[in-house]
Amino acid sequence: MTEIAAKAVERSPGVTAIVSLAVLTAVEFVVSSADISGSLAMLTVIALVKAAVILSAFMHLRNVLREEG
Amino acid sequence: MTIVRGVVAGAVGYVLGAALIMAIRAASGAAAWEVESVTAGAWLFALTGWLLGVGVWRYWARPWFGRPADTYTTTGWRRYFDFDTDHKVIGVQYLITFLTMFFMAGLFAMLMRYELMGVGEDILNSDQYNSIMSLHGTMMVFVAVAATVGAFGNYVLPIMIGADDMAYPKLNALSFWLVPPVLVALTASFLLGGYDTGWTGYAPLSVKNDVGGLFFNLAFFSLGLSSIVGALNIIVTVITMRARGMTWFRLPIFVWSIFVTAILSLIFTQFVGLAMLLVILDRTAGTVFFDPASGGQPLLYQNVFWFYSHPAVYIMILPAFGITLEMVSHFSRKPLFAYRWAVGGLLGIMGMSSVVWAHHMFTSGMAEALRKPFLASTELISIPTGFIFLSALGTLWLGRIRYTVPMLFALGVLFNFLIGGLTGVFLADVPVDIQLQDTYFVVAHFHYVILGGGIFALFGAIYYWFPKMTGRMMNNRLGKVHFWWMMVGFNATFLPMFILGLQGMNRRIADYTPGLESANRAVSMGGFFLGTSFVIFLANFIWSWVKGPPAPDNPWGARTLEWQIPSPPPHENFEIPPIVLADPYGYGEPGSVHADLGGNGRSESLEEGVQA
Amino acid sequence: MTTTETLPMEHTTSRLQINRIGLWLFFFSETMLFAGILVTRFTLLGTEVHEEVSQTIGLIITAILLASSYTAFRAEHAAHRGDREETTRYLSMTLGLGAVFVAGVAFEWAEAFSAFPPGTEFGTVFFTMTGIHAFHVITGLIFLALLWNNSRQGRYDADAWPVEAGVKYWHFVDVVWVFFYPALYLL
Ligand SMILES: [Cu+2]
Repeated sequence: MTEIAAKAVERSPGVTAIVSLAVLTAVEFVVSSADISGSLAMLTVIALVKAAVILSAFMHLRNVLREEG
Repeated sequence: MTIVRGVVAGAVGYVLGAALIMAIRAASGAAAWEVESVTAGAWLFALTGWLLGVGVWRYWARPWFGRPADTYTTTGWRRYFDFDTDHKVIGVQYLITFLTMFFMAGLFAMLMRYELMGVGEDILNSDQYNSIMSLHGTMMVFVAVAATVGAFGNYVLPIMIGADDMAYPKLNALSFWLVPPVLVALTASFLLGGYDTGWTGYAPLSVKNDVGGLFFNLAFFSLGLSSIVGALNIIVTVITMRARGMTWFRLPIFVWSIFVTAILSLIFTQFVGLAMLLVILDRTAGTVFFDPASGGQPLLYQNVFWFYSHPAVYIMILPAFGITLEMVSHFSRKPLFAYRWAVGGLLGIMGMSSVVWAHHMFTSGMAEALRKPFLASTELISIPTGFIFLSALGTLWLGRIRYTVPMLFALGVLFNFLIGGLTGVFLADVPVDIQLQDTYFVVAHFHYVILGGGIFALFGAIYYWFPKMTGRMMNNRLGKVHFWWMMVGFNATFLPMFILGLQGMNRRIADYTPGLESANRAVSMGGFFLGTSFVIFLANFIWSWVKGPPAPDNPWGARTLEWQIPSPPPHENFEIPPIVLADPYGYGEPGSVHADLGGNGRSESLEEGVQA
Repeated sequence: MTTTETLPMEHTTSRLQINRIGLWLFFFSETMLFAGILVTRFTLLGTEVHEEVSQTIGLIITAILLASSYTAFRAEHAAHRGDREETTRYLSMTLGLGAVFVAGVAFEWAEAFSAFPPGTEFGTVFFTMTGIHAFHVITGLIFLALLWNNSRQGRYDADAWPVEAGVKYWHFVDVVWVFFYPALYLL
């Protein structure tokens, strides 16, 4: 694999993660300004999903007990 | 030298921090100097400076700035005053520091009992009494939380699991060197007039009292940092540093108890840190967490505080259970009865400890609907506790008991904790608690648990591991005299306190109604008797350390790993990494060996172990 | 020594694994602190947020912090690859974004001081939560600055663990903000 290709492979989960985080944040903002009922539950769920994205894609939670990066 | 550097760097840190806070205050239009705000903010800088000065900079942080770290060259007794990363040195540092704290807090107790001998304010006025009482409680709680874990969790635990040190030796040293600032803060608090809230520091009083209160908050906060760092180190050590063959169910029960304690500490200490932080903010930053006039809630403090401080009771008592079970097995010459149930009991207590805290708040004005659930959860937690108790009794049953000094202390723990535990069942019962809240019944109860359980076990552990730590034996006869003197003194002091409490004697007061005088005098006499027992201990401890007869490697004939190496152990503990072959309690099983330590004939003995 | 293979094998943990476990346990412990703060916030305020809290600044600093997590992620991967130049570049971007975040909080504090001072119910919670979070951001920035300087000089070419640790801490601070942002601004 060339270096450029390797970088692209490594970048892609990060790009997916940051895009989904951006979308979820936008949804949060809309949910709260729309003033709909049940927004507390929705915001909680969205926050948990966002946290899960960061923990898995950025922080590699699965690799706690492994050798690889 | 190290300490001087630390003090200087800490002072520099304080000045820098103070300058920063004063600049911010001046910029926001407030008066630049205000002792509490400036000190609270500068404390963090002073702590950082102290840690850097005491060794973090020289031995640890220099490489972060591209410089080589200093080589550690200190030898001999000076190591105990330096940033030494050997877990055995740190264990001794913890032991001596917290024993000193224990005896100082004990002297405060003597002062309190002297005051309470007669009606009226004799030698202390109410404010002075409250200060002394608060310091006594705070220091004793600190001792109970940190002494056993710090001393023996550090000294013995790595050897017991066959490791050469903790997982993070430098972090270990850091966690010890966070303790001296705790002492500084407590001393500052005392010199600045003390504080009157007791160790619980309830808001709103703790927000409003004099500057001594702030130093109490800072002391507790700093001890919390030390506990969290130390707990993290212990957990990682037990998970990752066990010798080959040391499976989870071959761990000595003491290791399990410290491991579970460390988990509790890692999780819950954050909450007392938070409680202290919120009080500090209310005192210094103008927030209103606990000010009902501005929308705050004083009860919030009690919830956050007890969410730590009930689990903290288990942080104090689980190591004592571990020590007791350890002694009971080794000195009954029998395998530990129901080992897995005892481990389950430890884990059960850990699991339940977060859902019982509000039993401290039955009379605080909490929602009435919550009383029954907390009554139930509190009484349920006595079930896993019972597992541990039954494991001890089952081990003693038909054992060939050797009544050594550590064994006497272990039996003392069982006796005292039974009383402490059973009276706890009464107090968990809401109608009884409403009557007995804030009386000496409560005082007697928690002294039976913490002093009768935790501290008795601490002394048992000292007698047990002293030969390993110092290479010298303690005097057996003096040890027995100390035990019986302390046991009689303890019960003579605290049994009558239950009756005093039933008669309505309030906690935390310097004066009381004349009808209670004779009982109080009896308690005081018992207290002085208890206090003098430690003179014998100290004499024995110091004399034996200096001149005691040399200790053999394994004076107790115990099977765990620390007794299979020289007394005191060499720097790296084991010549080659040991291989564990069987559980540590196989007394009476022919041919059973706990571990192979290498040397001649390793392969033969290994083969035997595998077949067995 | 062949018989040892039949024994249960423990103590085979590498230094890297030991470090990772410790770091995650630290995050676990810190999570308790932040959980406690969130519970405090809901106890005192219920589900209300102050109407004068600035939605614009809130959204902007949230976006900046999320973006900094992406650059931090790239820095860590570059470090594991041994690409010194790229590690340094992404670390400096993360540092820059982090500094902008802190500046944003400071700017908002100046506004908030008159709208809801610390002596009010909402101000108490707002300043405490943003303050404790900003404290973690600032310590994170100090770590990142050290990492940047050392990585620039090639000190992590052989071992990228320090970069990994600093970056993970930075992500953790971001996770905290994921919960603090809705609790302070939205709801
Ligand atoms: Cu309790």
